[in-house]
Amino acid sequence: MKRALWTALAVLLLAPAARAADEDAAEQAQRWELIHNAAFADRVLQDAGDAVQIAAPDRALDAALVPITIKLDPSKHIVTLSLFVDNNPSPLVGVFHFGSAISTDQIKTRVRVDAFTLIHAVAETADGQFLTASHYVKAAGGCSAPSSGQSAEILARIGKMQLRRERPLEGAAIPAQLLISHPNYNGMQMGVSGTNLIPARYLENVSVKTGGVTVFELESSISLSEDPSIGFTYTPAGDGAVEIVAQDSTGAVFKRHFDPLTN
Amino acid sequence: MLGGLCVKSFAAFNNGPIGLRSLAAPRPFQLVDQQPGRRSCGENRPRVIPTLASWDPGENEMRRTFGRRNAAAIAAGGVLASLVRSNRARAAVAADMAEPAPGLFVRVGVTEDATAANIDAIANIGFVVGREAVAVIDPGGSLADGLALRAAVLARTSLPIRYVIVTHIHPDHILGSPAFVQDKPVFIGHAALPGAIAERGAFYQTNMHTLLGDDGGAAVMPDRLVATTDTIDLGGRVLELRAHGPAHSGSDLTVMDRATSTLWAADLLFETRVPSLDGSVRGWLRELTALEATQAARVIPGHGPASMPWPDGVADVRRYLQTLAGDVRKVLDSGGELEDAVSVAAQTERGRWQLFDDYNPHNIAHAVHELEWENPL
Repeated sequence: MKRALWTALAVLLLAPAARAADEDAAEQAQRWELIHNAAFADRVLQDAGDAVQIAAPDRALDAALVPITIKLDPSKHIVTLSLFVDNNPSPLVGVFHFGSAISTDQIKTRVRVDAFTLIHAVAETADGQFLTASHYVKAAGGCSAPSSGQSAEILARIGKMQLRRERPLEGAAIPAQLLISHPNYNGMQMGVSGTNLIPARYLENVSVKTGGVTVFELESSISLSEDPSIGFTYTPAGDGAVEIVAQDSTGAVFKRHFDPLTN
Repeated sequence: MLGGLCVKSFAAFNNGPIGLRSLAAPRPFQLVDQQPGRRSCGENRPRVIPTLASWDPGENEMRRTFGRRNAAAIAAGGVLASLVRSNRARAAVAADMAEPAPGLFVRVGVTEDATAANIDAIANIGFVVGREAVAVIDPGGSLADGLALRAAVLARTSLPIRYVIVTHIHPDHILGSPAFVQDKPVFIGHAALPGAIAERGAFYQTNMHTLLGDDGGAAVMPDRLVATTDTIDLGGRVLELRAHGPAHSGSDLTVMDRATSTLWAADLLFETRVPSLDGSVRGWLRELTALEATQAARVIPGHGPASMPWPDGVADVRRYLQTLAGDVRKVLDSGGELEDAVSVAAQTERGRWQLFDDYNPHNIAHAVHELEWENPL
């Protein structure tokens, strides 16, 4: 579904989301149907129940930096996870393609939220089921809002990465937070000249491997926050080192090697 | 205040559902209110609309002022034009002013978020009168707020308003600028202010327009920039201007009135109202220390009373910022992240400040974002 999905969803950029504060359940359903049709065509989506659960703060701290946690049931053999902020101009935040080194217990990230909105997660299982969950978030202005004011610093460190990990117990999976410094300009923010919007420049692909084995590949978009953050859990493979390769929409490639954690 | 009015009343930062429920998010860069008749907050309360009888720059003046300037200012021109058409005949009501030092006047802002009822008069703004001229320090939070301040100047002196000093980018300080364009003053700001106006001006204007319609106001590009220090002479009264590194915002300017030993600290100093962070928590602490070396009899905080003995208030802001930064670092150092910081950071400060829960969460998000890149491995 890779690129076709993005192409289909680009159309939604032209379809204005309802004014969220006024939005009722029918409008929410209509918006999601639009996204569903564009992203999954004739696939039947099932309610995920406990298999996929979204957590987010009731009151967003900062609409440009809304932390989202998606809890997954590892027994479901989930192979892809798509995340949508329904009322954003570009609803698809990203698609995670899981490799064999990931523990599919939870994924965390930070998103921009442009208007009060449902957030949807769709998990695809190895046996072809599509499980959905949703969560309502009260935040607004995160897409057109100016950048954090740290733009100069962020551009100076663009592509720098951090992998924050907890020391593992012997043989246990390792919870990790990957931070990639990138302005993730979404094309809706005014530049300092004041006459032009800053052209979109955002992370398109993030690949995480350990010892040559894929943890996940993420196709991402403009709804990811500035300085993207991705939380995941992996099981070290091979020598246990972690290799990150990220590419942005200008084609710039950023790579980083992280040594294995030692006890 | 922070990127400002923001939080509740503006969709920008969204700290709470109150203002937002009725506001909804503005579509990106749409500069007109889609529902002009609609008021978001306090719609049933009486609105104070102080405007000035003589306010009429005329089309040519509008063009001179805005035509050569940026998109944000051009948008402001539209706001002004309709203001001229609709409000020409109405009289401005002068703002109530305190005079903490001779010839130095302060309008105390209310400890609220911006609403239609308070016309965003939430920051401390004012002016200084010399022998030959007047300098306005912060033109106000909306056109209506600016016009009320201007009326207060006119009620006290016939000296010309030669300078309008803008202490930083935030809407509660800058959006009253158009009220003073007719006086043809020199607008003075931090060297980073033009960039900040370009980035945020239209966004702030749009949001304030949603709240106040044509009384919302606009940012005006500064004519004179301060990169380090500068002075202006009002006639026997020299004001020293000082540009600061990223602290409360990215464009903080403070003003020293030597004649009365008064430091106008603007939003480097908050009292009562919880500080809002939109620059750098580390930078703000540095600038406070540098500022503390300043000799002064009194200080004018950006939010709080009209004046305080100097350096009162510094300790409170420093304690808040140190607590915020310290708590956030503790969370990050123990492997936590943004979500984990929310419930713990600066919680010991609750009860010491008003509007705490409206701003502290955003401050935490800003501090986490800043400090997680403090020492990248």
